[in-house]
Amino acid sequence: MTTPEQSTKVTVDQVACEGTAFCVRSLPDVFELNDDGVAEVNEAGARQAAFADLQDVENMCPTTAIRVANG
Amino acid sequence: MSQEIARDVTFANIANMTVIRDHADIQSVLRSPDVVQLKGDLPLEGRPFTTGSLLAINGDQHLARRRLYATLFSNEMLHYLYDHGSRPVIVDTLVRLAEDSAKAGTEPEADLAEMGAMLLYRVAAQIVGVDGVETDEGVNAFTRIVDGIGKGIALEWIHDPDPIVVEAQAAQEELRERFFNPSLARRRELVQAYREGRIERADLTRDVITLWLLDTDSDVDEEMLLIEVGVFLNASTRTTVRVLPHIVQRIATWLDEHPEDRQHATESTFLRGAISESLRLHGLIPALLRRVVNPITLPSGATLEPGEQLALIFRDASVDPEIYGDDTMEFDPYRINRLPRKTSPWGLAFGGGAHMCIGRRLVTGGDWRRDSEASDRDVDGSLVAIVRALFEAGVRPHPDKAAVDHVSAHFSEYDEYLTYPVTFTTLDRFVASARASTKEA
Repeated sequence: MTTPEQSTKVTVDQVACEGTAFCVRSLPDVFELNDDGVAEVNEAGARQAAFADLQDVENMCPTTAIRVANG
Repeated sequence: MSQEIARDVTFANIANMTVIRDHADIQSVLRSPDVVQLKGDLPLEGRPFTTGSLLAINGDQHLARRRLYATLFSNEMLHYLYDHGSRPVIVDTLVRLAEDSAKAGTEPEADLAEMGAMLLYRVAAQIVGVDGVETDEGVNAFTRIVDGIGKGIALEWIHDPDPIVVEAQAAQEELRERFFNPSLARRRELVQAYREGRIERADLTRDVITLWLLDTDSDVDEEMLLIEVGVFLNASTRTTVRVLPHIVQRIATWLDEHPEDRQHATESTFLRGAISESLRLHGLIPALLRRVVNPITLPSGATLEPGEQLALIFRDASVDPEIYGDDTMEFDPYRINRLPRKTSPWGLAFGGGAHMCIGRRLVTGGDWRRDSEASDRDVDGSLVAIVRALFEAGVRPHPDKAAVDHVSAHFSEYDEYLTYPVTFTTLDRFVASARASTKEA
């Protein structure tokens, strides 16, 4: 059986991301900056994160680079 | 284009700071957690105008403030501001210009440097939550006050700050008495009504002051909110006001040389590219200042030590030919289609990193870079709204009255028009169309 959290899909648009790192500082277990200074998703961390917290970070991203989808 | 950093600058309060001009070095500094804001601390007399504001705070405090503002520039809010802010404000201004010209029996003309400020201040007041700027007299007073506070916020560029501090403090007090206190009181009542269940959340005003009121269990720090309001009003207007005449000048020149593009002059795709180029070529802020808190090594190999103060000069970085091509100094509204992936079409006009301008999407609209899949690609910003309406009304540089720029008036390098006279060739048609749209609505 799949819980809502386990089916959550989190992506970061690698073009739109400007490396403001709000996501990394808010949810360090889910997001990290790569060598180009762009955020990437730790999928294991994303599966553990609360959906509301992910949505909070999605809404906060100043470049709308993050997408959080359920299902 | 790698450029050595410089440590021998003598200009105003940035004297003896480390000056950085290289694009990669600047981007590295902006994204580094080992570098913090210097706003308001240079000189310290600037603190009453910036301390505790979004421009001056760092770390967790800054993160919390940005989270508070998450809804301020959501996609839905940007659509709302286009339809209920930028577009109606420019339409109303042009309709009134047409009426005044008809009454006076003269051809319609305006000073775009002045008109741009009036337009943008009305939109900014809506975002911040300041009432009372609907009348001409209100807008004039508001403009004078915001300009006065702006000098205090930009104190680092002043050789003799003392008289400016006095002027800025007087403006801040006038803002408090005339606009801030009544606006705060009205929003307090609305938030109270919401908390007591008398109105819905959707019935609340949607602005900075309301977000502060909603965020606090007790009462807001009014002094800090007043400073934040002053900073927001300036940051959300001055950039756009400065660049607007440049945009019209650049597009008008382009259309003269490329008449085949006249049919596209009011289309989003063309305007987005033209506005991006204008932002890139006309550095809006001379430099941003930062202070190093932990040692860092820049991509160029230079090392920066704790305590070192930095001046990041964007103008050079935004025209780096290695990034923007050998024709980087030329205006090309179609450059956006040939830029390398991820390259910012507006250069570093909005800074970067955690302190990237919070209002960037308000100004430019969505991220329309090639390959971007951002959710805001269909959003147009306030500049697109204003420039589109101006060209719908047939704006063109005044054929008989010359523009005056800061360079010729003050022997400075500040890239701003003090006056920019324009005429309108199709204003009547624009007004008729606007009135028809209003009737339909």
